Amino acid sequence: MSNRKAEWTEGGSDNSAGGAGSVPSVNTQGAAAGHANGGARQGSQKHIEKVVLHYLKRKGYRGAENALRSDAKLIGQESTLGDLAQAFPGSEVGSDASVPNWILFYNESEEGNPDAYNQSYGELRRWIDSSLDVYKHELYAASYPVFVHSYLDLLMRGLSGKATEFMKRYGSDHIVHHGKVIAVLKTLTTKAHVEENALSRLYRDNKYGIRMTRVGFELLLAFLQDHHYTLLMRTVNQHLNIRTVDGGAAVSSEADADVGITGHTQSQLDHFNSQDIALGSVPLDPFVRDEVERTLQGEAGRMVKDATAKEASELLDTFAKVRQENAASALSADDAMPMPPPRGVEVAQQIADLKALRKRVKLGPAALPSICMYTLHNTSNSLTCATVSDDLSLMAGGFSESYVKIWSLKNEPLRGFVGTINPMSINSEEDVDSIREKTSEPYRKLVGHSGAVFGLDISFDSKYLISCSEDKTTRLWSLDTYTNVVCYKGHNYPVWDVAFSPQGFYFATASHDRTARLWSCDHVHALRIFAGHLADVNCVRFHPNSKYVVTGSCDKSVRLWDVQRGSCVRVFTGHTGSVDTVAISPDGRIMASAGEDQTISVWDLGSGRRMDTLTGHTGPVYSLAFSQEGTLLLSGSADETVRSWDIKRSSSASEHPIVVQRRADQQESAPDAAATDPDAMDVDGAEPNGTSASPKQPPLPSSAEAKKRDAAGIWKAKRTTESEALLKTWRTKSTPVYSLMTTKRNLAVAIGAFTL
Amino acid sequence: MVSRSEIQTEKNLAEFLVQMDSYAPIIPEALTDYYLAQAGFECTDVRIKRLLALATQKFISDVATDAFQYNRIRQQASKDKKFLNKDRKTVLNMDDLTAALAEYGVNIKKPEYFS
Repeated sequence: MSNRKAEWTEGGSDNSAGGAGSVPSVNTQGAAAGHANGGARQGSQKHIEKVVLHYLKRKGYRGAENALRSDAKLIGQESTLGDLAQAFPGSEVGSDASVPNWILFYNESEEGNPDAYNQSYGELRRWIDSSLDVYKHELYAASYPVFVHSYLDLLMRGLSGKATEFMKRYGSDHIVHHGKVIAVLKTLTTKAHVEENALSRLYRDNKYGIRMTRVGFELLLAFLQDHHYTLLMRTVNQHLNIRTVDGGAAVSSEADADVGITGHTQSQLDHFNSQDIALGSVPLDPFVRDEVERTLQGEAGRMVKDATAKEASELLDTFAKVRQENAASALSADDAMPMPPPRGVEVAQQIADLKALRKRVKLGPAALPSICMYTLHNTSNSLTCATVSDDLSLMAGGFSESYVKIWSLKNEPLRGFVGTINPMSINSEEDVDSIREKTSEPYRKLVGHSGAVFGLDISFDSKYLISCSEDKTTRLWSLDTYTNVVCYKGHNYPVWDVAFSPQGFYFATASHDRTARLWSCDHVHALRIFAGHLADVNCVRFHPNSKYVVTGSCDKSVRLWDVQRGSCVRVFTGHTGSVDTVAISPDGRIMASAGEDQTISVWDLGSGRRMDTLTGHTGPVYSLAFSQEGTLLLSGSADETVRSWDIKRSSSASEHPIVVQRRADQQESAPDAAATDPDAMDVDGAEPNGTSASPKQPPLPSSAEAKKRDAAGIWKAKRTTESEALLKTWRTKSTPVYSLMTTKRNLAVAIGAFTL
Repeated sequence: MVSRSEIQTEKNLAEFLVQMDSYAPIIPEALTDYYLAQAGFECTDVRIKRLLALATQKFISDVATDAFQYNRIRQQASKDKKFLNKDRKTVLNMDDLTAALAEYGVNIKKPEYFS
């Protein structure tokens, strides 16, 4: 047998048509005796036998092999391809699964031909270019994973020359949407590279998700079958996970069709995303409620009926109204996160919130916000992150030289304490004042980290600052003494982001080690580890009721985690680049995410569906902030602009119940949940534009533009078309925007570093 | 319980620090401050910072001396042929420095240019 084998790479084709002795090799390392293309058609029976023979040989079943070899000379067996394939278990992805794939899709003419991939992919691309516009997007999206796997297959067979040629001819098509992956693939040139490289392993081990219409899918399959492009069929079968949607043009752009690698199949994702979550607001602690009422009544009932008394009575009314509104959507006390008992700070904060609510500016598409922009000069590119306290009294910036700088925005001196404090000698506020430093600058430098500081957050009461750094630690700083109070160790790799819970006490960190962790201020070790992302976690934010945490990652997905259980309850896929920032609306139902791909996706947390994709930025988006009503989204980006977007909240978008009762009356709400979910599914079917709402499609280009685009191939023209939802763009002077937030009064604050 | 040797060490440190008041190490104070801040070490006592700068100075001088010794050994080894009088000037080579630093646990060996 060996003397009949010829090296695939040398392209020699041994003419041994019909010879039972020559066994074409299934093994990628081995040899293949290629038949002349002409004689290959007759005797498909012989092909099957040859493949089975080789399988037996590979498994080492000598007796069976010899028996088959002798018997195969007789023509008698009527086993069909299907029967043989059924004998093997079908669907695991691994090296042995290639055997049923080979049997199913075996094509002699492609076996011996090293140019098979080149030709068949070229034909596929030509066919896509000539097909209807309606289906072009999803077909292009499907051709991308086929391209990647064909390239990797060529390398695995040792055909580096063919692989480079393949890449050169067809690689440029995909650079627009998948530039980074193409760049990495270009560096792989040998089989060893493919086996070691993390990205290629990710593609080989996981199925790539694609969403297509049924018609488009059938067109593709029919094309591949009619022309017998069995290599491509094999790739589609083994490496693609195609989810078909009913209805007409459900797929309006390539980005829409591309689901990417999530580590789950699409059906798994849908099932996964239907878990119950409780998105209600935080219940008001009875102690706080009583204290607030008592304080306000005290103020209102004073003898001298001056302005403060009047204000206090108005605040009482506002308080009652707020309590009434929240009563319906509030969680029960059992469901809420366990917190330490409330102190005076919470009461003062509640009263301050009421005052802010009365003075709040109502924002909407007609009324755009005012933005207060803080520009930091002379940072010499060392500013990595910045944040502002909720009451706008302090601003903090983290630097790559391992320190955190704090500035007072009211120009007050930031006075720390002198020497050590003896608690016995402190009996009143004057005593505290006397042991402070006499005078100080309105800025302070906090030294303690030993690596660049990547994330900062200030607690709601402006008492604590938390910072995370490249040195794998997170540090808690007191904003009374301006000293480091606690150092939290646990991560093994740089920590990219940190966020406080809205009620304080808990914080979460996101790190390069692909996990996010939950900590409480009084425990040095993490309370929960959120593991599930396939690449490092870039950003983390709490839900307003503190029960959930949202993380965005370099694996292009966003996940929602239940804090108490530590489990992932939602996976949001659809971005085509790593996710750098996430934001949740104050009412807790809507989430927005953005990052390297310059688009912002708006998601409905309850159903896990994408409500909208907002395009318009021309650089990676670094920060997002919702207005207090949740109808406006602000985004700051590296393209030196801040943009505001209209968030249309249609009632059909969120069918998911907001508060899930977890007690005896669970039985009533469970059928409710089951009833609404099919509704959500129907919405998707009935309106084909369910996920990407049709009013939001970018304006159609003029016909000349369109013709030019078609001529160049739809991939080549990448000009950012702006969504209709874009309300306004504010341009800064050479200042990329690092951080955005909206205060309780709906004033927007942006921070950037002036970069020449 | 604090042992006598610990007390003695504390006394030595205190006396040494008094000397630090008058001695300024070669490394400029601004440079010392910058690197200490980058490492996360904050201290208001100038003498401690000078002590750290002095320790660094000693480390550098030790490494340089060791490299010089290595250089001498190499010269001894290849003493015979290529030596002219004007080549007497000794230059710090990467080979000598790599060998010297290896003794202190710092590995800066890089693969050869031609491999």
